[in-house]
Amino acid sequence: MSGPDDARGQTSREQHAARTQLAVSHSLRTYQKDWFAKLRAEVFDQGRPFCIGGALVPHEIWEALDLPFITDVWYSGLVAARRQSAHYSKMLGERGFHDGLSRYSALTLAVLLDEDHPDKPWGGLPNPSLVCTNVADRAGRLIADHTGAAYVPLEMPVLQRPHPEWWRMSRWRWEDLDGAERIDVMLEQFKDLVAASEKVAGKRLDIDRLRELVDRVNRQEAYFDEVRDIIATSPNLPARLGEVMSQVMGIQWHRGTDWALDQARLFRDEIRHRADHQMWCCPNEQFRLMYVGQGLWQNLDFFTEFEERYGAVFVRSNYLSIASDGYLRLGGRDPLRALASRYTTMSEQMHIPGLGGAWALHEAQRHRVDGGLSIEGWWGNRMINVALEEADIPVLNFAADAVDATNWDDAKMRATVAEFIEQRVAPAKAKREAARV
Amino acid sequence: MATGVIDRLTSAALEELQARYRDRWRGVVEAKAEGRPVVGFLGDVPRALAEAAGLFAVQVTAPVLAATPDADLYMDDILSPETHALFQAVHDGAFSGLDLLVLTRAYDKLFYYLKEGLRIGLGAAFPPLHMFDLMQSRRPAVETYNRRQLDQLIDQLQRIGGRSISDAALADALQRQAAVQDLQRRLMVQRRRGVVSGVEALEAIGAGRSLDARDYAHLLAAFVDDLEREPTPAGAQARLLVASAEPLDSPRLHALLESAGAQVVAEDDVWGSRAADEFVTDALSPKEALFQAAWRGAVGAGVYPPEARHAWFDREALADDVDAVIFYVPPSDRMFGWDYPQLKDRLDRAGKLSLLIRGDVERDKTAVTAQARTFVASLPKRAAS
Repeated sequence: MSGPDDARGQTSREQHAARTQLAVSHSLRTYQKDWFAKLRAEVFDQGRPFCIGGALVPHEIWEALDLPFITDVWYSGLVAARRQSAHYSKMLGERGFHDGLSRYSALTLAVLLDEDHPDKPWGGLPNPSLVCTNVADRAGRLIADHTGAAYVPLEMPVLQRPHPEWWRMSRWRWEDLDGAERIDVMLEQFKDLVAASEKVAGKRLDIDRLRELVDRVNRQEAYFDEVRDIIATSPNLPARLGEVMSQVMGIQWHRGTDWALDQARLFRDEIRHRADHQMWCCPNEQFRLMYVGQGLWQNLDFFTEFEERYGAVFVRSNYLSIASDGYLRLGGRDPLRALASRYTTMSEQMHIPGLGGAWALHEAQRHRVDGGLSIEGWWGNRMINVALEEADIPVLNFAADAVDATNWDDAKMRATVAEFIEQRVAPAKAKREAARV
Repeated sequence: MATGVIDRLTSAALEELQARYRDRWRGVVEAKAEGRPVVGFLGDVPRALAEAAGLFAVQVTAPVLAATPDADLYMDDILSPETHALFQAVHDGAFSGLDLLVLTRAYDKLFYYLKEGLRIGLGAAFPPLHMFDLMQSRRPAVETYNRRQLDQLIDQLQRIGGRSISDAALADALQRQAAVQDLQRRLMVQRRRGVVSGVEALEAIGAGRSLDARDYAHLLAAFVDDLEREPTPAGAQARLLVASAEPLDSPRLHALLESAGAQVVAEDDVWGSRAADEFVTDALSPKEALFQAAWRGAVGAGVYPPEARHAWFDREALADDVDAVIFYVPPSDRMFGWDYPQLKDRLDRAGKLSLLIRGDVERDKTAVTAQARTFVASLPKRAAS
């Protein structure tokens, strides 16, 4: 089946390929396609059970049990990258799910519901044996209902004693940061997940293997920490944000594997090489921008054109920064408890009022950011924007869905960003530089 | 508003209940005048605990359609108008008379904003805050955490009340609560008999959230007695059940539906029919009974598994004397919409009619009114009894 949409998709893919700068981007894509094809073959042909998990799920448990899995937001991102989000979002609407419901992870559900579609991303998904998501992520339970899979929900406890500079405590002082009661309740739920996973896997979890995996994940996140440091401190940007985001999340969804650790090291090496050899994305770099909140997964190349026109580069997103500030848990003996600590507040710390703003401002200053772009859809963004604006970092509230391209108006969006750079970012930077003189 | 016998019903008890429902702060003023500490609840918090601690408890609600300039400065549009309105109300000092404001996990976002508001100096008029983070999934994994949450709430209420909550006081409070629920169930029977409108029933039930339990029981008993003396009307209004994505803390939706010629006979909400839910437990102590009811008897969007969340709906919506179901899912909804297709599918398979209202009953009043009128007019006529 082919048509105008396919032609546009092809052109977009060609443009994307031409803009790709990192060798690890190619190796990531090759690995992912091979891995997914193998997963499909094993599940379809050999009847091997597999799992679907939300982003806030300790995948390390499945990895330690040799259970293949995919992450719903990764697959949603794949749908978006293939420009199929509008179709699947519409399909959800036709099934009665109103358009105010988040599509961020639900496109995976849509693909499973749309059983007769002939062109699903990478051939479509096999039915899972086990699904685990946050209890509020209702799409996860619907996937389980639709496919007959077992379902394990996770509930995160409310953060009652927030520490605004949480990232200074999260690596070593996580027991103090997250609190014993909150860690305990996550731990109890993880035990449920372990029991359900063992049932599907047909074997017991080897806690020593889990410990090795968690250690490996910590080493992987430490590589990401180095990447962030190189990007933040280099004179100019050595790698485009779209590629960095894809790389980080592509590795994160395989964290704990030897491949993920190797790929993270290669990623770090390539970024360091590019910085050492002054291989900048935009030699005429003028303005450094950051994402606040989600990334624009439906159109990661969108911002590249502003490099040529304005010398504007995107240097920072939550995805790389949370890898080290949110994932790293060091010094523990009990790997399950360390994981429980990681997920007591995972993701929420990026937008809880006070926590999100303090982190965004710290990150903006560290990355020498001139302006921010806030993609709507997350609560807490406005307070982050206030924190940045009060520090004279202008923020554009960008009215676009992270994964759903249904209402995307390219010309309007380009004009909006151009106006923002000209009217707000440039004057703010000039003012800052004048103040320094 | 309503038609038939309901128009003719006069009840001094109902008038007092309505007055209390509409002026929810009156009880607070009276309690303060008596020197009695006052605690506000946002979400479902066991009222018996407050009573046993000697506190006056009031259910806090958001002012409707009030401007929210300070909230809008900090809060994203994705958060509901209710959340904006509550932040603004706290910011403006509307609840400054409270000795404690207890928020449940359904209000976690508001809690975070208020905590930050305190930190950045906006909290001059804020009452002290307490988060009662009772997880609503009915799994053993969360039991210990939930017990700790209840213990912490008890500690706070004892501190505010200046006395410990004894088993005897708690048992008395639970007994009074059970008696109130018995009266509410009798009220439900009268709703189904058609002698009280949905608006009046909602007001009569909701008044209990801003009245002392003894006073409320007295008024409600008188009102139910009045109703039970009424003959069964010969009216033939369509009977509706409402399932709402938002708390039904105002009768706006019911008023609109009943002005279209229907009668709302039940609603899946603790402000209405679900207040009367009976939770049977063989717990040996009053505290344990209260814990089990608060946890395993909880009502709302956070309840897991979905079978528990939907059990009441599945039973009541398919009842023979319910003609149709109204799904009220305003634009602010981020959760109920995931349940809607399944719930509607069950109704369709049973041949039960339903209407989905996506507009906001206040902000899109004209369109919602027209939609309701068209739907009610399309319902088959009910034979007069």
